[in-house]
Amino acid sequence: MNSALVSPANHAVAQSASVMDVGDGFLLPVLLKIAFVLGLFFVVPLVGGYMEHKVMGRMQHRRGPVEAGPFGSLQLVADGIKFIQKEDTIPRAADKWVFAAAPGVALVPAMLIFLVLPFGPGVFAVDLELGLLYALAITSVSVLGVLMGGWASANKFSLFGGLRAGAQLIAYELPLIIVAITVAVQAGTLSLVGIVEAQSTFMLAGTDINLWYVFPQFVGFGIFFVAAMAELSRPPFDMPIGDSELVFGYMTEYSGIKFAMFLLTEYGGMITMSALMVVLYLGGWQLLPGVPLPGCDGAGGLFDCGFLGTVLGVAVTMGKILALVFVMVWARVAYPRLREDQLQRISWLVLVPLSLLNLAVVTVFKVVF
Amino acid sequence: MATTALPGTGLLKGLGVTIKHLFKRPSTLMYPHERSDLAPRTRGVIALMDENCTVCMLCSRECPDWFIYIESHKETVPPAKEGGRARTRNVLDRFAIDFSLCMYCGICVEVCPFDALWWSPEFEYSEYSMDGLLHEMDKLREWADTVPAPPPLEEGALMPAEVADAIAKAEKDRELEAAKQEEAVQAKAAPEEAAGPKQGKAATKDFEVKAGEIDQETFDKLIAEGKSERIARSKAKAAYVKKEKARMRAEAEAAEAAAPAAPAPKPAEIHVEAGQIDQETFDKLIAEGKPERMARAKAKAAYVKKEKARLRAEAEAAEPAAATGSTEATEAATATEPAAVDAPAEAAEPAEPAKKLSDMHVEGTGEIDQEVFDKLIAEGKSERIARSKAKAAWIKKRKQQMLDEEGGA
Amino acid sequence: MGLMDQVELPQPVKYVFNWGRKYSLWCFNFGLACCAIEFIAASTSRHDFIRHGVIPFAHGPRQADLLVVSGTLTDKMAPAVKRLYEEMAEPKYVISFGSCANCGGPYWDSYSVTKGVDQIIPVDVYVPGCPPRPEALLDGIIALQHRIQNESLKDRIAGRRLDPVTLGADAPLALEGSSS
Repeated sequence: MNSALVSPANHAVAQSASVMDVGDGFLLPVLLKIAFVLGLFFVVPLVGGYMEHKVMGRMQHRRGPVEAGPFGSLQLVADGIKFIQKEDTIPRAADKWVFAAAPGVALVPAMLIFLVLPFGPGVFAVDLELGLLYALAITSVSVLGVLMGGWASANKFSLFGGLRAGAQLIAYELPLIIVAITVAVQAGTLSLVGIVEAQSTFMLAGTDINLWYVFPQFVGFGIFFVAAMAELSRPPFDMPIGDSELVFGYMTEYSGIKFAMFLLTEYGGMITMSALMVVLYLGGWQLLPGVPLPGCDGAGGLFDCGFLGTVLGVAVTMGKILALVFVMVWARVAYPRLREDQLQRISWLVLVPLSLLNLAVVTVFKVVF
Repeated sequence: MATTALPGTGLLKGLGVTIKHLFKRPSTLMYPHERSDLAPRTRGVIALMDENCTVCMLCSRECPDWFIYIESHKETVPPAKEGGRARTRNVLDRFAIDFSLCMYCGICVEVCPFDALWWSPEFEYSEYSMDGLLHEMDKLREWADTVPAPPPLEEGALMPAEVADAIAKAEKDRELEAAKQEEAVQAKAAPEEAAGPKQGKAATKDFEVKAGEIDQETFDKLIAEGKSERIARSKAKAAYVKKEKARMRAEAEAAEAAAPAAPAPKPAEIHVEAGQIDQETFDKLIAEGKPERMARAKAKAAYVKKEKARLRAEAEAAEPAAATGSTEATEAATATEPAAVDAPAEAAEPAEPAKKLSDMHVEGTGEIDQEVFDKLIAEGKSERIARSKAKAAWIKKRKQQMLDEEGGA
Repeated sequence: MGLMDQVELPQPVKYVFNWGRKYSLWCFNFGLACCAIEFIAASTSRHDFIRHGVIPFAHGPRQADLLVVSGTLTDKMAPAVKRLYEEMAEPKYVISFGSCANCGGPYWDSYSVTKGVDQIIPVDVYVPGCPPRPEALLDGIIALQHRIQNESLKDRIAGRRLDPVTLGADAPLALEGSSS
């Protein structure tokens, strides 16, 4: 019976090497990692955004962008080029320094999460021992930027938007963290790479069937998904920027590059939240439960996969991430925006109790078996 | 909430609807690359056929926004006959419509007594500056070329008297000509053997399937079976056409069997029109109620086919002719030439003194060149186009006349 | 950004920058009358102007690049349009959609109607029609994109500085020098 549960013993804590740790020098790996994080942060959200345009279009019987680039694929690039040319408006009554700093405060944490996210066997910048904690902690910093922006704009809609965002993020951070902790409890580690590895060795009690955590913790997965959408203010949880009520919420007064930074935060957030879900519930870069990548050597060896295995691992991870982004877009198209009170009720009266129950059940199982 | 459905099924249903639409074909019209079929009377832009305009100012006065600008001057027209009275006439100098003010009510188009204003479905005339929206006569005239042909007349409707006359006249001319040619051919029946196998084609002429005729037998049977009248009628029509065709084929075969006795192909049938279409086929198709475009295309194809057949027949005829040293075959072949030549000649009549013609001034008085009009109508052109071309032809002729008079003086 | 309107950029950079502006026209619809319905039709799946990079319905004026004034502009509403235009960030473009917005249209002699939106804000493209077809708006947008691709941002903004229409009554009159 005991074999059913994973012990983190076979995971050498904080020892997993990144593929970017090349050579003995200090500078080269660091530069490589910076390039890796920046590259991911500026490219993958564009892919997500393009997918949103196209999927949303097709779901609404439209075609989405067509003219800008082949099949409209450069639409978001055009948007970016436009944004850097836009005039940077700052309201006269605004708290100028706070107003200017807010997009950065929102953007940088969203970028920093990419540091710990594993995108394939060895394809990550750092494998922090407290990776999950780090990721969750740094997500919460983004809300600070939102609040700052809402406050500093000297606009009542911005202020309302900022406060709504604050209330929403606090309400949904709680269930999000509880279900994430539940995964950590089951995996026995807070390292994101460790959690992926733990999933590769997690067996259904009494059998030899390998399972990802999404199966025992489907409730947790659902809660995480809903809470992540709310966290990102994605429709149908976009009350902080609800345009029929609050113009554009905390972004009302932002234009040009600062606005683009807020937008990038949102799209980057979509990617990071999806990546977290892939890591926590969907087995990271594993093709199927119990099916290691070609080139990876058998038990536990998820890090030495050779070139082909690594590339395939990245592809699998990206595929899963984009699939989750697709579901987010899907939900956006299908559902109307919630009311503010409905939003709070769902969180406090449904998601928080459910996530606590989930935690209790998983803990009990973990102890019993 | 009173239903027994599980909570959340509504949410899933919503997702189901959107995913279903993901795999459907988008209904988007890729506008600059493809265009929608606009209704023939779309109110896109107001086009002007200035040759029809008599400067009556009705449109300008009726326009609710008063944005039609018309300028004209008076001219004296010399008497048409000796001893007549000289008349004054308004000549259009400027006709401008300010589309920034237009509300596209169409009152001007409706009120125009001489069909000078038309609705064109063009809508692409956005401008970078306001004054660009004031369009002058030349632009309005360009738009007139985009006016679609009017819808065909209802079945059984009377044709306009002029059109009917023109068609009747053309028909009569053609018959006369055909009879003349037939006589000429029967006088020298030399190359008939060579053209023998082509007899079926000539035979079909006698069995034109008239539109609207039905096979009474089939009709009665279907009605008796309790089918609706509409269905019975359409099936009976089809049956009639089928029968007729079968009959024609049988006869053609019979004619082929009796090939040596059959008359030669009438040269009139190989008559070459300016438009390079087979007039007979064209007329037949028009009579059958086919749209002009289709009729024209088919007539072209028929022309090519016939032309080929003729060339082949000629080649075949030339071989024995060369052997016997007879000139008759070539004579028969050239017999078609006069008919072919005089049509273009007619069309191109006032070509040479074009340079000087432009010096002459003749104001459009609304008179038309009846001959050209009749010819165009016979060719299946719409009345509007025929009229405008006939007017132009009249003016040209008149100029020619004046030029000649001057030259004579 | 402050810099783009000061210097004339080299040709390749200008091309890329103009291309970016051309295909990213976040659109703000100032719907005032029946033309607004046709505008909305242009944004729906049948015509779908996102194809051309016109992202419909920027939430607020700060994020918008393109203002489409569609409908009858009354004197009462005119200050709102002007204010909205001034709230937009440069570079900004305006399409006047329909006869009423072009110059008052059927109401050109009304006591209460502004005789064209270009009396208060500069207009880039006039789309005629009453109301114009959705395709006519697309045609106008393509015309605007053509204009953007070939323009110089510096000249555009410099021209705007001297434009008394944009700056209101207290702006120095650009034409003062030339008239004397």
